[in-house]
Amino acid sequence: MSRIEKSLQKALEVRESVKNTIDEKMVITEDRQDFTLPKFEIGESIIKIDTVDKHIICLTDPFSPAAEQYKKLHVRIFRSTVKDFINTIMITSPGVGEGKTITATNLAVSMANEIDHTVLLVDADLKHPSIHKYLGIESKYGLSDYLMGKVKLQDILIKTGVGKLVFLPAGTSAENTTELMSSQRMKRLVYELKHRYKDRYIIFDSPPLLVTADSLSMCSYMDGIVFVIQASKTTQKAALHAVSLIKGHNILGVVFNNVPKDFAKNLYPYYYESEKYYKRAKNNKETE
Amino acid sequence: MQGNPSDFDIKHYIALIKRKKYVALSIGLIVLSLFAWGSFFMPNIYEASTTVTIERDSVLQPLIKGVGVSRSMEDSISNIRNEITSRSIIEKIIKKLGLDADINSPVQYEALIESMQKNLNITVRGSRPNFFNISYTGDDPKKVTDIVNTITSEYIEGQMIFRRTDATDAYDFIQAQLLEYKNKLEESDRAIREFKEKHPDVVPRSESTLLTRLESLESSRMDAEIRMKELLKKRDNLQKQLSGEKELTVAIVTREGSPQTRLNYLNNQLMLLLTKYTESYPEVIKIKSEIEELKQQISEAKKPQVESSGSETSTLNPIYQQLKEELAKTEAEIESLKARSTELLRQQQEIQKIFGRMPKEQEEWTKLQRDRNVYQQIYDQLLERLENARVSKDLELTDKGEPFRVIDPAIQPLFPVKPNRVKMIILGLFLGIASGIGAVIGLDYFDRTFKDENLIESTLKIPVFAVIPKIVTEADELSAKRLDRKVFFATGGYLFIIGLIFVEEFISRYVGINIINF
Repeated sequence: MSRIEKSLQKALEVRESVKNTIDEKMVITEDRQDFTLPKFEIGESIIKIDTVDKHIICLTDPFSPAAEQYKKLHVRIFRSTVKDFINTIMITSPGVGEGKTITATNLAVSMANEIDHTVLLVDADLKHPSIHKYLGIESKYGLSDYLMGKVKLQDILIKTGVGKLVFLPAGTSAENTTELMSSQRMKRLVYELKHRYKDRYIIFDSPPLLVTADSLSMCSYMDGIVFVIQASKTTQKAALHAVSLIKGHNILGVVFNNVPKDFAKNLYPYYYESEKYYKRAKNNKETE
Repeated sequence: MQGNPSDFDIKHYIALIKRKKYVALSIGLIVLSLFAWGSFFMPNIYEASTTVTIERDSVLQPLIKGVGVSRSMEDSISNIRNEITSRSIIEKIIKKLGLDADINSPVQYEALIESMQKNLNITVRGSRPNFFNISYTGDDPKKVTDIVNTITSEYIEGQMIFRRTDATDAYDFIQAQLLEYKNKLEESDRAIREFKEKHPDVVPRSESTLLTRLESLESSRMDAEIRMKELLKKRDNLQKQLSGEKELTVAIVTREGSPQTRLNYLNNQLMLLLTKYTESYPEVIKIKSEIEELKQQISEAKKPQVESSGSETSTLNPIYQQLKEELAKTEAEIESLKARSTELLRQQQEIQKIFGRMPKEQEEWTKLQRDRNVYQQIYDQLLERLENARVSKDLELTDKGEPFRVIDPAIQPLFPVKPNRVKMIILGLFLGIASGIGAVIGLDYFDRTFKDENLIESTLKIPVFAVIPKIVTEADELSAKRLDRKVFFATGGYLFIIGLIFVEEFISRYVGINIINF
């Protein structure tokens, strides 16, 4: 049984369970409605596992050491947010291509798979949206269209079929992204999403801090920020600068991303242990 | 490297190079290419060289040792170097080979000479300067060869002429000197002869002999003096005695001596005996009777005598005569001693006079002697040297002393000494490897990115939630492998080409088979 086949089977299983739960929970019902918020049905786009980018390791290879690390990440985020009412989390980094999108997607998938919380993944990188490519989802409209008032929210939310993961794509590309991100409509949207369900985590993928102003304006209405640093790429200077820009906001923690094996060997004495463990687990599964 | 610098780990560097293998490879290849291809753009420089030996241990050498002066080759290599690179030789070469064909100004000419001196290289082979190489580098193999050969022959010829004239000159010089010293020696001999004639007493005697002579004179004078004193005393005594005796005396001549004397003697005897013995001692009695007899005799004798002569016969007193004779003899001796003493004194004084004169004359004499000795010595030496010089001269003239021999005449070089592509490629290879590794390590050293979660926490003061290992998907791996393969083949092909060039260069240069002529 190949890995892909395994994953597919798992996805099918997951889909079945998601269908059941979404029917019960994701559909907005009168009794859970605290505010006068519009009711809507969420569009459904089941992720096909073979169209998912292999870097979304939590989907493609959920028992790999990397996936384990994402689990660890969400556990730690959960631990640091459970006391306060923190559920809007922005994933950002100083520069381009440091793994914000992959981190955000993997984190969202990992959370959706494991915890009882509904997870909403928002692609807030309006300039270079890419989550949909990673997940293999085609979408016509998205956040930008909503912010410009073209579409309604229920038209752009996509149920992914992965746990309780709902995806809000970026939409058609726009030029005035910073204005859109700092608009009242955006603020209201975040507020609404935040307060609709208290047990819901909303994860925002964002543009790089040092490149655009979008993330800076987003910071102000985020509960927490996760900072991504890529090994051998993010410089100390850039990191310090970026951190100084978002000073005063709640930086939850850092994800040290894309760490080569030989770094990990020094820094992570249990890495190989876990890899062995992973292989053993895989073998066990295959023999079953 | 950030983090803990004490964690020096070779594995870390191996991993680093593996990770940055393309950086290392590209830098290495660039360096190798610079050396490999750069060598084709460098001008070819040829070098011709010849080996010359200075024969010091020839068969002849021990034979002429100490006889002929064979010019020692302590004309060290620096001497030879100076001579060969001397302006005179270089100018000769330029004229001979017509190297100044396109020289227009004196400045250019000077530059030509200077560059030739720079290109000329003289090195010693081995520890002793017996062998030396004359080499010349330049861009034209034929010209280079010509220059080396001409310089060598020019130098050796010059040396031979120099040595020959040197030997002849030495011989002539010594001969001239010899003549001069001969004259001096003769003059000195004459001076000595004249001096001897002038001061015959001074010359042969040395001071010590004079002194001993003076001493002996003194002592014999003393002897004479003492003897004289004795004689004077004797003379006085004699004169005294003489005055006590009468010139004439009555001589009683008896045959058997005077009975009176005998009587006196016996009386004395008797008295002696009586002191020891009594009157009845037979001897005493005998003597008494004799005395009696003698007394009688004397009284009897007096009677007839007086009776017979009637008067006393006066004769010359013999004692007086005797004393007188003695006195005369003594006086004569005194006279002779006196004369002898004065003579000795005179001689003594004379010697003392000589002593007084001596320093001056002695000095003059010594000077003459010394001069002569010195001249003699030099003359002898020169004579010996003249013989040596004659042998040396003959040696040089008959070429038996030929010390220079060209072992390896310069032949036209087939390959440029520079650039040596074989060496260049090997060097490029090693430098390429070194610089590739060095560049990666150097870049890593100056890399200020995060490589350590601890560093993140200490720099940003934010906890690290997770360390995500590099996610290598199958597609990534595949494309990396494909890229690796491509790079491997491309690099391999490129290295193969360089390897081919290397092999070609190596074979043609060191084995001698020319495959392709570049």
